[in-house]
Amino acid sequence: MSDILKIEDLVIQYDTDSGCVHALNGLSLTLREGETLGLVGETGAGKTTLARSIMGLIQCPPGKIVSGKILYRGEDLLTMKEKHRQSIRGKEISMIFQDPMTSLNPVTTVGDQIAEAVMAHEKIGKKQAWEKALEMLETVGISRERASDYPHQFSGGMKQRVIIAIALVLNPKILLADEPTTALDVTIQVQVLDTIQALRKKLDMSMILITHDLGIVAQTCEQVAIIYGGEVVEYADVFTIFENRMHPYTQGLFNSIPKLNEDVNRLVPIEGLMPDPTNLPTGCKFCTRCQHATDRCREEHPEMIDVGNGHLVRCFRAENTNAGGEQK
Amino acid sequence: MFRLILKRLLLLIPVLIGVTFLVFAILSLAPGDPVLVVLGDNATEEAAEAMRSELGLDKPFLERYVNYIWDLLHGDFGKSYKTKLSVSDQILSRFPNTILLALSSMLIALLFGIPLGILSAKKQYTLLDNVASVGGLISVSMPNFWLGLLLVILFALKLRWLPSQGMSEGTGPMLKSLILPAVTLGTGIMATIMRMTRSSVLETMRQDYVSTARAKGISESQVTTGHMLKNALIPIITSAGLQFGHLLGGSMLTETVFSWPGVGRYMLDAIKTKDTPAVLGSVILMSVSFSVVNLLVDILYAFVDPRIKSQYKKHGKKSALRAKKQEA
Repeated sequence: MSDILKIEDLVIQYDTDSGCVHALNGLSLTLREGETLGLVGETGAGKTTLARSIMGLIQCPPGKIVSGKILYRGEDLLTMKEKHRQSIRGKEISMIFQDPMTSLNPVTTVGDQIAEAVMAHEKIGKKQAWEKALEMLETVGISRERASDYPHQFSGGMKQRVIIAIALVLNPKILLADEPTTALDVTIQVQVLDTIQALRKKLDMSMILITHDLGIVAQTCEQVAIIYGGEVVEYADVFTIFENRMHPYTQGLFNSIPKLNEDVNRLVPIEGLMPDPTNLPTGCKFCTRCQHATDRCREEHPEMIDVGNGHLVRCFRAENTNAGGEQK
Repeated sequence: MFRLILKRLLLLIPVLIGVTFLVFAILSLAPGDPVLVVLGDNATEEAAEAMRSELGLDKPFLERYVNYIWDLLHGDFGKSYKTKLSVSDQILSRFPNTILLALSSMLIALLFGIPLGILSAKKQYTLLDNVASVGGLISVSMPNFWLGLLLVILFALKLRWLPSQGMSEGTGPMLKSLILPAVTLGTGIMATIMRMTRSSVLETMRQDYVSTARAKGISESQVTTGHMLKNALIPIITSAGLQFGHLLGGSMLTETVFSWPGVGRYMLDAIKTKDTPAVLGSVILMSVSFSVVNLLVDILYAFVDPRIKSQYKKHGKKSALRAKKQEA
């Protein structure tokens, strides 16, 4: 499988009144063709910033892309002309947003909103664009008669289906799904996820699925990247993450899931809070909450360490586990 | 929708009764005798007495009021004390001039106010935005009659480009004499509409559906007009409608400064001479046009926002008003 999207050392900051927010701090990530990559992390870890930067939706100001590259099939999205980027946005790379209740324009029919995406990229008339929109609506499980309805006439799950239809109507190569089910009921979550999965296979897309639900990761993803403080702290295939996770933060995440086969009175959270993004620690970003933290962790910033089989960990403790592994 | 219109028109009846009673009472209680104003201070007691009984002014207040309303129900607005001309004829002959002035100043206000408001929202905190804000503040704070006089000094007296007073005969000269009063009236309204547009667009700019629209890869101007402005329209329509209602009642100051033969000036002259039937006629016209414009604005909401339309359909007026309040 070849790399379709490669993010290198991406640094993004927001200038706010309370100081400079370090949202992404040298984040690197690779998405291979046809693969589903899960992006897991707490609120404020930088997941949404990452997705929006790939789409080119970071508001500047206050946002600022300080350095780094986002390579789509070898072309850097960050340096290309706006016109060219616009032709990729929505056509080659699409995004599904977090909150279906607010992500649709309330004063335009859903059919128009889907057809608009078609007409932005294909030189066809309104009628043909509508026909395409109607087909897409049916694909996501909404009958074509409802195309001339307005968003307020749909339920949350159906709205999310409409948003999926907008994102997928042009068969994009990459789909960025930013917590597509967080705002939905559990029963609806399954339906929406199934829809996304089925379409992903049918259209042969690559997908980055942003979530903080590890259950969804286990169900849908092949590769997983754990994000903390604006950088990837652990990257591996989904089996390794579930069976042989190494970063203390990843371990903490899994420990905080209540186990079904044990009597659990209290959840086990990760102690402490996310560090203030305007004032991140100099060493390991997780050192303030890590029970294994040493002086070295507090002063020196750990690099990604390959512990074999493409399993990358950003922790000094991994050096010992992997005597022969090279630093990456 | 039809029921809504009917209800609103019926509501006009108590409004008119209240308004006419108030004006009637104020004019009766205010010092000064209309008969002496008409006849002059040197009039003999007999002549004054004769005129009083002729105009029915010797009768008690309530009787006069009831008589007036009775005549009004028969379509008779009475005759002016001073000129003995029919009030309805006088007002109807002036009303088209007032409408013309109102429409043209509204046109100026909308034509400049909305684009400037959008521009200043999109370039928030830049030089352009600051200049527009300060300019808007100045335009709003400047009294109409003063701005009118300044414009007269510059364009009529110094440059001699435009006539300073009155309404000229013939289409060309008439339009020329319309420019100064229309600009005078339009400037303040333009500033109000500009501020309203700016804040409303700023509000919609941060909405999720704007991100969805951008993610489709449509151009920024399509995002602005199709998604931001369309959603920002409701408050703009509300404020423009209120302003237009005021304008239709005649703008006393501007019409006086420019000797524009409109309803506003007629009413001011009538107030000065305590010409009760003339004042009442103008006030009734003012209230009716104000209410009708507001009704039109409410109907317009339904065309702009499908959520309001469905409210109108479902429960009629009450819930529609509630929806409007929530919008505001």
